[in-house]
Amino acid sequence: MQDVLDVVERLPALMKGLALAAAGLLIGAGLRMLQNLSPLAVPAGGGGRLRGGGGAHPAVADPAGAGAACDVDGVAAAMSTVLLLFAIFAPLSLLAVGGLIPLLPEIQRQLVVEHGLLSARAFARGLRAGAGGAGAEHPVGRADGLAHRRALRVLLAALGRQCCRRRRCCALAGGGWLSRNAARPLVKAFRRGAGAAGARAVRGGWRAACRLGSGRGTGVGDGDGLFDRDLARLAASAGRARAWRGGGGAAVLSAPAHTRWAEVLALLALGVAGALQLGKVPPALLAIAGEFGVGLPWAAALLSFFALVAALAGLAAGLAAARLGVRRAPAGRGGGAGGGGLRRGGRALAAVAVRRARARGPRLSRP
Amino acid sequence: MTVAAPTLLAARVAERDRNLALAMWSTFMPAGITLGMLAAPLVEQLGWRGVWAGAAAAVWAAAAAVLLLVPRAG
Repeated sequence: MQDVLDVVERLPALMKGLALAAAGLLIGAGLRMLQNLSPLAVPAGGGGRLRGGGGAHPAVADPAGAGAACDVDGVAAAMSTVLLLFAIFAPLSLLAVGGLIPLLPEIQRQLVVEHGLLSARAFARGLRAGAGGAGAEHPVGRADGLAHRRALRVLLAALGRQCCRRRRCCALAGGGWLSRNAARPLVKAFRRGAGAAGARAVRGGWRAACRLGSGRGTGVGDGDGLFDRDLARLAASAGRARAWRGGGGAAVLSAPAHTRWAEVLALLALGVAGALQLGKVPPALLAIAGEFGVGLPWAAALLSFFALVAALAGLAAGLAAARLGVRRAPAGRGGGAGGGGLRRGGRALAAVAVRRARARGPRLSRP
Repeated sequence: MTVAAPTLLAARVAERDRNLALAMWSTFMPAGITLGMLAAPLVEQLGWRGVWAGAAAAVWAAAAAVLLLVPRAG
């Protein structure tokens, strides 16, 4: 009898926990929905904002095309998706005793196989992005290098269009990928990010390209993208390396020829010390509960607060890391904005802007 | 830190050591938690405040090491 009473006594806490979990799920799903409806989202059909050839490039946000996603049908579909997601994740979250990782196969089965909301590839990509944070931008592997190169080509095309308008250099006008409005923020970010030297180098590349274009007498560009490739190559020789070696995130530090293991160990120690903050809690739980005169439930709630604070602070830290560059973020030296710091910050921001233009998160394909 | 350190790590090791370095990095979470658990006897002796202060000191020490050893962006 006493046992039953104990359980009943604890029920409110249990219910509270469940309600919190449900609220969290709803908020997450709601955010997802907002993201889908926001002007930044690319409609599943894609394409509409791109002009000319090179349709493979994901669109940059285009204010003019944003309205279409906000119709009533869209909202209804989004709501049903949210409900579906809730139906999938609510039972999963009840199972998630061992954390997220053990549940991943089941989540994948539900999302990919059962409901067909994501392709297997999109799931993997989302997982990588989620696990990597800013790391998704780090220059590991060839794919990221390719992404940077392609981002550069998009930028070149965007800048080229502007250059052409001003200079009446029609040779470049054929193969444009972006509308002028879409290009403007990119251009701005790139100029700021690459610094004066980079912008100069790129402009130099264009001037050469313009001369080449008129010299060839092509007049109007053929729009098959060939010219864009030439342009990219020219700009590359003119100073892509200079412009991009300084570009954001991890690229601020170039990979050395020899590894200094002391650095690696220092970073590893930092990670271990951070993880220690999680490991220190369970042994101390009883002592804390005793000292504050609260039961184990509240001591356990303390654990949850840890996770909450870590999540919020981690969010801020991740954003800061992406903007300031990784070297400044782990040691927590946020400020110190000298001229160089600002410039580097601008570079990182440009990289983020490029990234935003390039990278599409996994999108739910609504059944 | 969890976000930035792997990026930094990948950028700071030579190409051929990258896999090893990232593999080492992947042990940070279990290692840290294990250390925390192993510190359980200390809770008896120092009290939880002592242990937590020690953990905080460990973070500051590691941050100082990173500041000293990892070069600034050039």
